[in-house]
Amino acid sequence: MELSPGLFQPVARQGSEAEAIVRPSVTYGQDAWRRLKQNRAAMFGLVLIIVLLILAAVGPYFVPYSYSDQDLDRTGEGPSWQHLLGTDLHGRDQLVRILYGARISLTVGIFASLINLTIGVVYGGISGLAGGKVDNIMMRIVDVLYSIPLLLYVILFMVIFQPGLQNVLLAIGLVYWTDMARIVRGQILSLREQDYVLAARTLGARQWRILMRHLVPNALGPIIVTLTLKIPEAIFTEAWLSFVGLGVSAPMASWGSLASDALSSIRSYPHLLLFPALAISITMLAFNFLGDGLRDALDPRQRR
Amino acid sequence: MIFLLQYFAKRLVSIILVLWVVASATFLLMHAIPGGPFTTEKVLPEAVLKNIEVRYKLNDPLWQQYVDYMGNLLRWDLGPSFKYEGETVNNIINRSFPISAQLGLYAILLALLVGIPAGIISALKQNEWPDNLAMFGATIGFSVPSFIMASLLMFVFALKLRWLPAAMWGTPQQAVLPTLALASLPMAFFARLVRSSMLEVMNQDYIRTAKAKGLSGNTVIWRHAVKNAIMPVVTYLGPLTASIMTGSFVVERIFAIPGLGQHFVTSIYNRDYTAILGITVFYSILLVLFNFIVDIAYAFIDPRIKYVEEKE
Repeated sequence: MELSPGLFQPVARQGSEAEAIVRPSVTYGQDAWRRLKQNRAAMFGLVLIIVLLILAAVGPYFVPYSYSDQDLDRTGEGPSWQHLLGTDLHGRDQLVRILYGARISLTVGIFASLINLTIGVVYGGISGLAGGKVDNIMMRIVDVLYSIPLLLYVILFMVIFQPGLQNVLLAIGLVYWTDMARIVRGQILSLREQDYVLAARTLGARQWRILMRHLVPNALGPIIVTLTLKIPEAIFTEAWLSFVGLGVSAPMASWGSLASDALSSIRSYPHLLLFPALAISITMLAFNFLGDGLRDALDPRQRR
Repeated sequence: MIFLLQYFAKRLVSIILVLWVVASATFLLMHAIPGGPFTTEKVLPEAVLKNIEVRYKLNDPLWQQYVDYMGNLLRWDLGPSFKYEGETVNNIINRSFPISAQLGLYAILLALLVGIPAGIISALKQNEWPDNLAMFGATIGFSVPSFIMASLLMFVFALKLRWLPAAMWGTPQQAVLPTLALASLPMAFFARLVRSSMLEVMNQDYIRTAKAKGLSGNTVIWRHAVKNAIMPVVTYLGPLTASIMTGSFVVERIFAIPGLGQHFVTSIYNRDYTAILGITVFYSILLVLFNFIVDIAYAFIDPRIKYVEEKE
């Protein structure tokens, strides 16, 4: 090939344009969301959770029975057009009871995440930022709480308070923030030495502002991942307590108490166990899928 | 070596501290309950109630009860059961804990023997059918709570197919279903844990070195990869015992196994405060000691760990 000067052209001086960024810059959040969208299992989980939220919120209004209505002519029936998921031994509609159970489970899940976000993040944040003696004492307290299974505490609390949803929430709230506190503390310890913290401090920002505006937002990835893993744990704990008889009390129904009630008549009415079992398992599955997906998506090492 | 000893001494102090806090907290919680343990029963005559309170020293001042309780605890005397005449909490534990321990041991062994190989095979056949199958199973095991798993297993294999007995404890057949129900969650966890750590290990430089110097595929996998990949399993043994323990509360109840978990739940129903208190403290001691043993074992297994004071 012959190279002649005519083939070449001088590049026009572009001035400031030379500095322009051609590709749109992708923020951390956009990047994580893009990767989450590619993860089919995680999206499946997310869709399931949204469907569940909608069903729990409006579902009971579309069923012409309340959770305590009894239809004594139709006790222990299988699924039919009148009662889509059948009726229990007291002639109560299973569908509406499971929908109310979803409300309870999701209330517990939302409450557990609020506790984690407030007590867990603030406790871990203060501990990590303060350092020294304060950190040492605060973490020893967490260690004590941590070395015993949380379920044991929750059981003890439930023995003292009378069973009921508020008390399940109280018991979960008292103990279910330790993991979050540990993780946030670990993050803060490594973040607080960063230059932008020094810059903020030089500008006169107070400790609280540094924590809330600079450190916590930068630790958001691990916080979100821990959150999605704590939610199913709290939902499981409520179902477990209700199954053992320490949770919500009759006639209110939770998935755990529905499963427990079904167990005594499992020989004749297996469908009473099947539907609550499916409801719990699918919910746990959805949160686990979403949690795994978020962990992969928010991991900066995997950022491309 | 001196660091190791220092570390153990430090851990031992913290264990004693933890156990003291747990015992005190449980004691205070149990005494914070409004009304005595006998007020929920049918109304007793005043004199009888007085006698009972004297007998169980319930009218002593709280600090006196606390001192007595701590002293007895040090001699491992957990006191009488409030519910069953002539029964002590020590008796309940001595009789029923061996059954729970046996069931728990079976479940741990099953979880290890199935979970670890499943994880290894999954990692070696990543994204092929054995991996997909194992991870599908693990997802199920991860999402189905133990009490649901136990109920379903009992319904299918004991009541419908009639292959195995539905209740009680003693024969090998009776152990199958409870063991499966209890092992399903840790099994799933191990499979996922070993798979991800195996995948990470297979990308390490020393694996490439081993391959480069011409070792056969099997030697690389077994001598170099697996040995390092199952390390996280050891750290999980502590939390595993905790999960087996809480799982056994319901599994023993569903299969009517007279183990400690069953007794614990029963004592909660009965509001048998001394039993709740004693069994909680017993479980706590068990777990804290077990975690300690796991830590020591880990220190010996993993040469990378040095117990020097961390700089923060």
